[in-house]
Amino acid sequence: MSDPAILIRLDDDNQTYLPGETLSGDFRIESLDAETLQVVEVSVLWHSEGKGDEDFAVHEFWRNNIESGALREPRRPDRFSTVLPRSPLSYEGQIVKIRWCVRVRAILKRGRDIVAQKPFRLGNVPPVKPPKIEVNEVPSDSPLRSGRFMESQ
Amino acid sequence: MARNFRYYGKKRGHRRTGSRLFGRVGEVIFFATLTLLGCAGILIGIFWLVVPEWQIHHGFVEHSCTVIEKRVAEVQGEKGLLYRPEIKIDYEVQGVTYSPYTYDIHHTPLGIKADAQAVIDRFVDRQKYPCWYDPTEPGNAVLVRGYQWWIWGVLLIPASFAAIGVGGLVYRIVNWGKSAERRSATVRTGPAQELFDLPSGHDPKYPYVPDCSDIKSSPGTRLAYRLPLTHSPAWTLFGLLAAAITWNGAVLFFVVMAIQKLIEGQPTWLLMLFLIPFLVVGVALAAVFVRHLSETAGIGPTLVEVSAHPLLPAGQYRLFLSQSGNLNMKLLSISLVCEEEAVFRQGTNARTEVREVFHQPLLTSEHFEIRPGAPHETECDLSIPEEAMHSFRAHHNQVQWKILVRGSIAKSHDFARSFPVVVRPCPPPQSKTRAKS
Amino acid sequence: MRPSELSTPASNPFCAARLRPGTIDYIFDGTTNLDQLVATLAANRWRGQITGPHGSGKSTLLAAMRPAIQAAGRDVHLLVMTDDDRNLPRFFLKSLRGSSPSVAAIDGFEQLSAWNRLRLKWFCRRQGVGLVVTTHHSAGLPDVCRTSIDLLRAWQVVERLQAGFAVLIQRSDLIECLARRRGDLREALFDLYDLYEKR
Repeated sequence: MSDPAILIRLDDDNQTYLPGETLSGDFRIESLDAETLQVVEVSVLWHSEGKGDEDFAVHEFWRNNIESGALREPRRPDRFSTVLPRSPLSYEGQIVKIRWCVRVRAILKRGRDIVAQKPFRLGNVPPVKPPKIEVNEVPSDSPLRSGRFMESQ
Repeated sequence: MARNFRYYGKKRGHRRTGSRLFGRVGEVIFFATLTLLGCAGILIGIFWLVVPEWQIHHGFVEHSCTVIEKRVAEVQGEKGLLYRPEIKIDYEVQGVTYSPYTYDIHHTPLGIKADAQAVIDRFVDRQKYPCWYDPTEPGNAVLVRGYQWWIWGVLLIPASFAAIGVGGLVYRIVNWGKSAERRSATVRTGPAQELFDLPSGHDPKYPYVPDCSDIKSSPGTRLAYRLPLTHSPAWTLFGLLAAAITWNGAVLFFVVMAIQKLIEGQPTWLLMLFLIPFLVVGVALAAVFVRHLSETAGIGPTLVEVSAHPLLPAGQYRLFLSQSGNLNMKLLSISLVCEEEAVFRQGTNARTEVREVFHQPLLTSEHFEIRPGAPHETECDLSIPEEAMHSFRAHHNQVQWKILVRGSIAKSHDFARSFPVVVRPCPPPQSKTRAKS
Repeated sequence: MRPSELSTPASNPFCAARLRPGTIDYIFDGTTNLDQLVATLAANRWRGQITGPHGSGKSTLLAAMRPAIQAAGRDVHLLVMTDDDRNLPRFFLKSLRGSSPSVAAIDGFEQLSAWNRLRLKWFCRRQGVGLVVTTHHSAGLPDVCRTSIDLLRAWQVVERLQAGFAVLIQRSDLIECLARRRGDLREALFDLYDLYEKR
């Protein structure tokens, strides 16, 4: 038997949503017996990426456990739906990036878990174009023109 | 080197960090000290000033005395000679004759000799007057009694110390462990908001978009809102002034001492040598303050106003700039700037990086003069790009927009002042579902 | 759990999330290995210090040692100090008093106040709890390892980070960044982030 896998599908094929729109889709877990499954968590979240520590926040969260009877046959698609917030929008900056995704975590008996994510974009903010300079180029006279680096101990 | 305690905040981008616990404990110690000082001052004041007067009214025995002599005594005060009215009286208690010099219970000296003379002139030699003596110490008597208003004025000083101390302690203890945000939330949920309709900058509909109440709380004179400065130069000036006064005051004390010794013919060469480096630091501090003052005063305030706030992508706004001072400007430019800021912490390192990702010149003026009382005033259009990222602030990352004013002055240094603005995402169109059921 | 731990495909191999200790492996210089270091620590009654300059891999080595110490039968209580906090978490010492033998692993020992450093060392000694720390200067504990960076290992780190990504960073770029950052690999990797973005 192959390893279990979570498949997430969004209803919208182009995976770009506007604030206030409804994000919906479904997920299913393949190659997994219902008996081994304990809890399934579905989150819609954003997180940052770049040169800073990560920030992240969960917009919507659902948890279905075996006791509640909400877990059905894992191979059958389970749907999710949420109205997306107005911010923060997806962003491809130079040192700060904001990414949205749907995350499904299946917690199995004996403590194991499997996780899958489906990224999507919120909003239409285009990527920031990096300046075409070499890394060793002398920064311009203004500290605002280039990355300003401060180290403290 | 390992550090014992962080006594000061560390600058990280536009924020400062430091030991919050130290700050709170420091505040408690400060307010507790104020309270103690105030209470001690009140007690001392009551003991030395109020109690004696109260005793005259409630414990002293009224009697009759004969004035036998009067004089104006000279007392050396801190600022020169003072004059105390003294009247020698004669009275008998239980067969014992007492002849003290007296007038009031405080033996208060007066600043002007004529005033003291006027006091004693009210009494005529060999005439009888009422007096009050202390039955437990009959030699202690006064010719006047009554509560004096200045005593309560004196008591007001320690009372204000105690009030500030107690108030600060109560505030600190009540808010112990609460974050600034929580304190702010407590204030906002109170009745004040309903009564005064306080602006609430953070809109919960726009998560992680920074608060803009700071900006909206300051109306403009030409356009709707006046933008606040990122850093006010006043605090830097105040800090420098305080440092210069404290340092030079302490040094001056020793300098005066050394000069006095020199005049008296007992020069203290060791002290004078020791004072030289301290004098140099004092002069340097004063020079730095004067330089900052002349820069700030010379350049004058920069006022920026905007026609609406928060700003929206694709929005068209007007911007007003007023630059005061006495300046021969080579260049003055206004730009719209967007910066990303990322904070990374690992072990002993904390690094903050700020990267400018958008820079749009709005207006440039060249070669003109600004004279006192006639500020350079100009207006320009401000367009937010249609696809602009909105302002964003999370714990470690942020995207911030600002209006940057840069000036280049002939025969002087350049300056740059920035005014943060908030760009909010456009409100979404009518909600719709793109789900394919 | 951090989102990055969920194997989110990052667009830049040098983003902060991929530089965290425990995300990239510590590469030994060939004179020692993980087993030897754990053996040294055990021989010193699980007390030791990892010293070295900024960005030389102290935190990464501590993160690498954690599972090895656990495999040797000791619970590891890891505490990563930041420059905002100079105190031990409220129940940290209490948590060390478990039934099983444990080791307190402090990343950034110097961030603790002098009183807390003394308190922790005294507590660990009295309770028989191990203590392993990362520090720039000696903390008065037995030396476990002095970390340093050489070009060969730095390049191995870069190669590992770029695995699965378009290889846009060359060895010469690393040499340049390391020279500018005076051997601080962490700062050099942040410079490479920018270079990767630009290319």
